[in-house]
Amino acid sequence: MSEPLSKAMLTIDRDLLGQNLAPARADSLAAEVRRLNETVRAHADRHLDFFDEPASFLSELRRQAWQRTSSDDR
Amino acid sequence: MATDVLRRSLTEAIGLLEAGAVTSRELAEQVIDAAERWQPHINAFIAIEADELRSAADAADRRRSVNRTIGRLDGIPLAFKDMFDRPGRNASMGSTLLADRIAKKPATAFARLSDQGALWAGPLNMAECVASPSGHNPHFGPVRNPWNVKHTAAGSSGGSGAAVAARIVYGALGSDTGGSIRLPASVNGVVGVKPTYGRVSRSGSAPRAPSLDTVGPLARTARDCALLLDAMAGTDPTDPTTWAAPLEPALPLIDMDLSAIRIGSSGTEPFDSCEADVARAADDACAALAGLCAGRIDRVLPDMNVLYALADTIAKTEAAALHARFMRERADEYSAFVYTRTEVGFHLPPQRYFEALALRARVLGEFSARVFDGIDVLAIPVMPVCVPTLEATDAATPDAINQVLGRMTVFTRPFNYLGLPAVSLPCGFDGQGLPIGLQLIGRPFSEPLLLALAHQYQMVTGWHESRPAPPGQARRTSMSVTFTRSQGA
Repeated sequence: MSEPLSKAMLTIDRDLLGQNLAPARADSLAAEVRRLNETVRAHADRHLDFFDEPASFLSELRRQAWQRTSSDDR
Repeated sequence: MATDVLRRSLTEAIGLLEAGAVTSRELAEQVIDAAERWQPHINAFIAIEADELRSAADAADRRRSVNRTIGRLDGIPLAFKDMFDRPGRNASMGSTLLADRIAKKPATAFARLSDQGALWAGPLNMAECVASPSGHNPHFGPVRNPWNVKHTAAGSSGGSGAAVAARIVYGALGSDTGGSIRLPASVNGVVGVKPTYGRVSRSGSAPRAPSLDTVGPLARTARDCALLLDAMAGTDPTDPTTWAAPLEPALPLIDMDLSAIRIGSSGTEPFDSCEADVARAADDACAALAGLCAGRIDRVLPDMNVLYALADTIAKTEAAALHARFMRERADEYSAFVYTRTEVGFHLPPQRYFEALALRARVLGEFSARVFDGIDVLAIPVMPVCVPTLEATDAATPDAINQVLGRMTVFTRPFNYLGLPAVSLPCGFDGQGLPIGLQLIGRPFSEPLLLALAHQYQMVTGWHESRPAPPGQARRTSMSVTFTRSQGA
């Protein structure tokens, strides 16, 4: 079941930003939000486990760091 | 004085200064002349700071005359995207929103280049709020491509790419959140480095999405980029994402032995969707790179659309948070396009933002294990399309725009999510004589390897030596690639 992307959310936008969205723009905005929402959620459902330890991105960058070998020197 | 001094590389210009063949003041005068001649055509600068450049050049000449130069870059004119702080000055961020903000201290990357003696020709034009690859800016006008002014110079570092390509300055500072260094480098035919997240401090630069933002150089050659990158990289207490451990500098390794290096490329989705000229140029470049190394291996990459969505979710959420007050109180100062792009972040559930961040280390680990198993460098086009016209990237038709702009960044934005280093280098021209760029991507902090590979590629090809014709002269046609040196030369 997909998560609600309701008119209420767009109302929040109007309240927050004091703007009225044209219908065409609201449709376009909703489509982009839906696309990102569903793609990320689907990936998280497959790969993010409830008991996963929080992983540090910076630590992973450093763990994966390129190492020069002696043969790289000319 | 050497007459074609602005056609030389940054490295060559340093040699001329050191040999006394040219003075910094002479370089400055040529830079000012070139900037003023090109400006009406390409609009690369927000301001040409001629008097300040002359004064700084005279000071550099005085230092050199008494053998007291302050660094490798002493007396070399550069320029910077107008988003880097300078004390007592305003950085526009391509917008009017920060017009009243005066910086107290310099951006770290800017300061480090200045500490090496770099001179500054002025702030360069850029995308409004660092927010678009289109090349358009409603406040300062579009940056036009010096190869053909009907085409975009891309963005968000469009002025940086155009000024370097037009041989106005030897190098420029840019930033890259989703492709903003690599795209202007590609479409203008210069080299650009999006560093590993954490290699170069972002302190004092205007943010777009701090989890993805990187700062890096654009120059005509990979060697020049290595010099600039080394000067600006390293730990910075004011940007806690920078790595505290010493980093391997790129320039000393620029001639490293590549005989054991393997190149990976991909001809599968989405890379099979490239326009024909792009696919041909990238394939030729991969073959040339393979000739410098141990060979080429095809790789099937993870779903780039997922990586793109993960990056986009972070970018839009962080940008919305950063701009929320401005968007509430000063909405009329935004173009409809940037407002709309940023607005998406208000509607994304916070769970998605958390998930995108929580998955990041794991996705990087899996990407590295899968893609870099058996290869050292991934080589793919910077973008799947030839350089669009400014008309095609105009925000007048938002849906068409989103399709064009989305395609421009489809191969770049995923690597901001992964935090990996990527070098964009020229690898040919399309049928209209506009440059095509190849992207070299490696493991975290492998910039020395990527730049060595790019440099050695440039030693056997001539794409980077082509230049756009100066204003008023006939357009220069693309030159054919020639292999002049064998592996290891």
